[in-house]
Amino acid sequence: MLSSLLFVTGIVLRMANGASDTPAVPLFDILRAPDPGLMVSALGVLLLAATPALRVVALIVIWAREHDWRFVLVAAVVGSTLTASVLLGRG
Amino acid sequence: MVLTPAWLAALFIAGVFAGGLGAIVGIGGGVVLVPLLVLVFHVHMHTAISTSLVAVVATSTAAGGTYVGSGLANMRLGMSLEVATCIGGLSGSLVALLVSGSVLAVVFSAMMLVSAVLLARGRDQEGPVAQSERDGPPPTPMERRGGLEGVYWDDGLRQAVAYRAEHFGYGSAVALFAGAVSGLLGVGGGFLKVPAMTLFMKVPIRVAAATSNFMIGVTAVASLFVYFVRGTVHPTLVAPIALGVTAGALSGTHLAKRLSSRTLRWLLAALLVLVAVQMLVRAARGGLVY
Repeated sequence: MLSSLLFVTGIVLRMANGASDTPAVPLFDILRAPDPGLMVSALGVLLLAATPALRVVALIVIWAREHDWRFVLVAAVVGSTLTASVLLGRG
Repeated sequence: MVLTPAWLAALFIAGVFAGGLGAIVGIGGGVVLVPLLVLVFHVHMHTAISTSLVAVVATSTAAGGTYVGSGLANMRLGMSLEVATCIGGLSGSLVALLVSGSVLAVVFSAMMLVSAVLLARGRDQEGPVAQSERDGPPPTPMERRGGLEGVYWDDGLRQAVAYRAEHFGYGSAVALFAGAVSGLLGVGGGFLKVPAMTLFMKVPIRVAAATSNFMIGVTAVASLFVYFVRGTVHPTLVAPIALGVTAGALSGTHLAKRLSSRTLRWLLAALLVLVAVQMLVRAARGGLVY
């Protein structure tokens, strides 16, 4: 829901500012986006992408509370892979 | 690409179409969305793939709450397979960024043809699955109690049904491949994961579908972060698509109960074949360089 709100806000801002292009925004340059609408839309993408990752973190917490350490480890490996994708993406 | 209200509306409609079709016929929207973006909107293949991955996350997020809340999705099974799919997704995305858009288009066309065959051979709906304790190989440490077992309520049988996922190694191997396909081509990979769980791992179809829906979001993120960091995500392109896919997926879930999916599956299969041929022809002529 929040990411949808950011998407709509970003589109409205860009249209209101008369933007006519659709540039790419790298993850680590979101806060340096050329215009506010682009930054808000990019934050929407980041928030949406973070949702499944947060689900993995939530499962780690839930399984830790259940003392199911085998699956805490499994989920931690998945979380580590997601972290690695950010690091490897930098090249 | 020029940003206009008409262009934004067209992207939103494309998202609704992809999300709705995915919800109705069970093949994810990425299979439809990527060629739409490339052939109609003239988007570069890498950008189309990263946009589609965002759409996959949106679909998984929109529908995931329902599946998890119903108790159908087996989170332990899903997370266990995610180890392989995430590694596959990460690898697929890194490979995709090294190859040209035309090469990806050819590979994507092949995948569309496979999807068309799967769609044409699919069944309308799965009947109740009678599952009972059965003789079989002794469970591996991964499959033992607290591992990959589960219970779900079967509406058809009107009883709780117990199951145990088997052959985890085979399932993981297919999951690794599904993840690679997802990262390489921007699709969810559910059309590989669900058969892997039902055919190899003997998981009931409803559990497999619900678990897959949860998984595709995590898998897509493993690839999406690579594309996002490398700068192939265009937020203004993604925003209307993601909004449309979410609306389409939610609407499609309701429509699916009223429509016969058989005709739609055949229509979509035919469409996929036509689009696959068109992408192949354009790639061969060098017409996919935008």
